Amino acid sequence: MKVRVRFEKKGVLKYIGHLDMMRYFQKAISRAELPIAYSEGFNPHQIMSFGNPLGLGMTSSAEYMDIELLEKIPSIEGINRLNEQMVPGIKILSFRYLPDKAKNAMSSTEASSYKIRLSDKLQAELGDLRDISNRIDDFMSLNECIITKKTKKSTRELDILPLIYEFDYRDDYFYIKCSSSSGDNIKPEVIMSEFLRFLGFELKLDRVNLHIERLDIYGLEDGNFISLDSIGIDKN
Amino acid sequence: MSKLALSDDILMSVEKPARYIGGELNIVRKSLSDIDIRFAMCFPDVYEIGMSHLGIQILYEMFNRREDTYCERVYSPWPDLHKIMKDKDIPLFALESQDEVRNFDFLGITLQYEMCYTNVLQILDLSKIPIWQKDRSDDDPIVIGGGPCTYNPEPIADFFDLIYIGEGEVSYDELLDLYKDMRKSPDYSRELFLRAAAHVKGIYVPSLYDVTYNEDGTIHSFLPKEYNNGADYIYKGFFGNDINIPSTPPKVVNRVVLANLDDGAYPTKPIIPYIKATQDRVVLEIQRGCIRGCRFCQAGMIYRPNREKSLELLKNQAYDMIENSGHEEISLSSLSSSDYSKLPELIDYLIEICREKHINISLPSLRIDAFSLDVMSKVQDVRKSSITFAPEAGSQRMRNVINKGLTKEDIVKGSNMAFKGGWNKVKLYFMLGLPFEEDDDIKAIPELGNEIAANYYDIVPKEERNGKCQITMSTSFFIPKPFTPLQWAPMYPKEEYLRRAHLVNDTMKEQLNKKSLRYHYHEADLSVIEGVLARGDRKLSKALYYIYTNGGIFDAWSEFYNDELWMEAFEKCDISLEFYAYRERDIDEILPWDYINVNVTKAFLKREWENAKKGVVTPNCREQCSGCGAKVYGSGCCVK
Repeated sequence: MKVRVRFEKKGVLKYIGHLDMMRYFQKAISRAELPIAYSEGFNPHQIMSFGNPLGLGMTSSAEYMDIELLEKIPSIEGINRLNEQMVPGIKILSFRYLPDKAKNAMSSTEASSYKIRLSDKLQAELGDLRDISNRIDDFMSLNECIITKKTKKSTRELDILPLIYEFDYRDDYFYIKCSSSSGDNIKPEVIMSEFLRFLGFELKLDRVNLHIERLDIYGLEDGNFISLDSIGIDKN
Repeated sequence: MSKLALSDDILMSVEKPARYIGGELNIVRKSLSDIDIRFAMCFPDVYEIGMSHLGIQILYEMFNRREDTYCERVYSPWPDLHKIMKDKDIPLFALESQDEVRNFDFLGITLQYEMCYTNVLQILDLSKIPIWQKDRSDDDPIVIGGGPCTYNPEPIADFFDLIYIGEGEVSYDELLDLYKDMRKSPDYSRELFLRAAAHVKGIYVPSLYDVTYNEDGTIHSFLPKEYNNGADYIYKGFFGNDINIPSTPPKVVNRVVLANLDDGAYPTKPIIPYIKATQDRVVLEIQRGCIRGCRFCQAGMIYRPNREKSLELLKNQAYDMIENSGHEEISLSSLSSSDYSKLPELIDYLIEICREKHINISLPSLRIDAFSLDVMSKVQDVRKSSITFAPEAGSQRMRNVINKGLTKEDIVKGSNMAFKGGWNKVKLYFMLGLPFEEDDDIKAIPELGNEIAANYYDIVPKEERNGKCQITMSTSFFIPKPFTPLQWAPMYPKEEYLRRAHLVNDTMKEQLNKKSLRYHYHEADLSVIEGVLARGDRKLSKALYYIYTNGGIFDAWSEFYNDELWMEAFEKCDISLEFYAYRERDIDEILPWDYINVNVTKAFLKREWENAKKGVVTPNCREQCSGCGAKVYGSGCCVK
């Protein structure tokens, strides 16, 4: 049976990359003695897969890991047993059983939402953020906003505006919900950078001057975005 | 969330920022208000290497069991961060608290290989602790060194306050108690503490000794200084004790040894790094010391006598470490693991628990026989894995010189058995440049490889072969080390080493089965430098300082090692390779490390040096005691 685990990754854990997180969880699951399934062979490994990798320097309240269990344990027990093995900064939020036919977190992913704070230094360069945020609607009303996307094989031009589903500013934070499907994955810093360019600021944005937190990842169900977390159910 | 010593923009700009943030699972956290002694324990290399070292983990566990002491970890900042810390004047910090090292009571540095010496200077410099011991004040940490290179600490003696000679489990409690008693008193002075510490067993205080030299550069005398006009000094300790500080430090420093290994601390809750350490597995130390007595091997001499941990304790420790770490692999740590007397029982137990928990067992290099092949076939994929021999020399004559008790027959029998069991990859390790080595001994290396390959094609019928067999030969260059019977032997210039390596390669190409043979060899220039540092004296410290201040760090990494800079430093500081590396030492010469007594006597080493010259084999400790001197410890194989 497949279980989807949601966890948050905060604070200094932003310096830990995706592959290291996978190894971290392999060990944590062993320590928690979850009844996880293993592959066959001389070097058996746990059957687990992760959702979209989180870039180095970003925090998240919505990291997803799918694991295959040999026997059912209550969701609350799964959460507790894993939480006993976590370091400060990582917290298990849910432990939900997936329907048999559910796709894994990575291939279900269609969109992601982010919360973005600008570093003090960047804010000083931009002036009053409320003035800036008043221009979001103008930006979103443009005919198009073309970026050049480079992949290993080719470069292609892409209009990002249809891929931005929400773009707001509230209480010092920008909120963005945008496509993160395997075909059209847009990084939030690209959207911020295009928006600021539209306002006349040519700035190099990175994860030092943008503090980005991933808020959730969504799949599609009946044409609506649904949190990857809601695809599974708690069991007692 | 905890504070970090480095800012976000620095951490985001360096490679692998996780090296510097601490906070890993199972680290020890203590409140500073509850402790008296802050100990920064440093492995002077990059985090992934340092975190893989068992000795540091043992000491971390041992120190932190003391309620009054908080031990934290320090590693060398990688060159990218090194530059930033120098440019921005950021002091080096310990991982747990992220506090500056210069505010600690002790900075302990483990000296595992000579090529880390420039990194020792880097650690001191970045910590803003004066690099030269003589320049330190009462408020600087006490800098103490330990590990295998302390068996000749002279090249770095001027950078250390204390050198610990022997196993950490023995004297640290006494040393820390003494420190606490003296440090809290208003009369504390660094020099008085060092003088008192010189009388703790195993503690060497370089600054308390004077060295004089003969005209030819060899040592004329090495003597303790006299203080207080020859009178003892009574120091009133903070806790009311009278601490008697004799006027003269001991002439000889005795190595300390833990008699019963079961009594030592062991890290059964190992720290789990976020990034992948070189040893990403449970490491179980099964014994210390070695019964074999190979004449080139320093570890085989300085860790005598061989002492085993009990089987029951090992089972418990293995179980606990697997439970507490979640590692997917376990490996055994010791010299010559096959000599551990209860190895079959231990491995049976490991196979049983590891199967249940889906953990891989990585076997140390075992002597190849029916037992080890059976075990290997249970835990490895035979078609993918290889078997390993360390004959160390190609000819039987040379193996007798170095007392390597592995015969050609052992190798041929073992590899034949392995071929029948389905293996087709063999690795062979050798040394080049051993004393009395001749060209025929060198050619014997590829000839042995050829013979093993030929046997494969004889033994394994064509239809059962899994392709060609693959015999990989590797050579390193022999480096004479202190406290070995070969400590008097000469080294060779790098051109000569390369000639020998090319002779192996050319001879290999003449062999019938050359397509099944492969050959690798180590860098020659690094080996010569390592040899100079291994047997050097105090005059080398100036050269090390020159190299560090001219940008040399991470010299153990061939991509950073700068041979030109080392040669320039040697020339500027009057260090001759002829003197330090290429000459044979006279048997009566005062060696820089003669004041250390490891309890393997010089008489025994001389006897063994004579035996080497004659090619006479000495039996191992279980067959017959050869009277090396380690019996005074009254433990391990000496009392069985």
